[in-house]
Amino acid sequence: MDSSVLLAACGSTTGASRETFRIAESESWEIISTPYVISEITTNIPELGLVAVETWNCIRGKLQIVRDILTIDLPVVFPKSKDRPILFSAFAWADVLLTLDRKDFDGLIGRRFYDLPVLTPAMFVEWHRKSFPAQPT
Amino acid sequence: MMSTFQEIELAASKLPVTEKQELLLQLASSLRLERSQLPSPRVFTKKEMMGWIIEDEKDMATLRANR
Repeated sequence: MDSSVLLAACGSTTGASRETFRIAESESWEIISTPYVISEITTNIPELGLVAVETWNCIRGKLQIVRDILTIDLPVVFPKSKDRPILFSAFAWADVLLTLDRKDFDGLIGRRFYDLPVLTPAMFVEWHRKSFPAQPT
Repeated sequence: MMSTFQEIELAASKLPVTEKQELLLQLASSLRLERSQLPSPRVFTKKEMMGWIIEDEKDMATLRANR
């Protein structure tokens, strides 16, 4: 999960980002993040106010923290060096990367980075609905 | 002094093969080191973050409406 999604999940109870936490809980799926993403949230969350900070303290405990991956042995044409740790870590550890950051991940959202789907939380919720129609979301 | 990519490339092309190999290995090594360092966390503006939240809420509202 990219920083943008975690920040949105902390900033709103009614967005698709928060819904992904409900889905993950109901499906017993793990939400993965890395120390780099945690450092971005810690840096930026105060700007969203006290409620968001308190929500972050709750949400943080639900995350599975894995090591940052900084390089991969595959050719990559992706100019944003600051997003490489997020993309590469997701590629190494996750089944899907969720992001709302169209500025830095533009061109990848709705597509794949090798075999890793890069989706917005809403795309993920929609995929979940279609794949698990009986499940409430 | 060489400063542009073209000047460096031209100079490198004039090196003997063994020195070209050495240069290549040194470049690869420094590139690997550079890329292995974690960048500093990105600082987002409040406007940027609120934009994500608004988009996220709007997307979810659309999904709920289309249920």
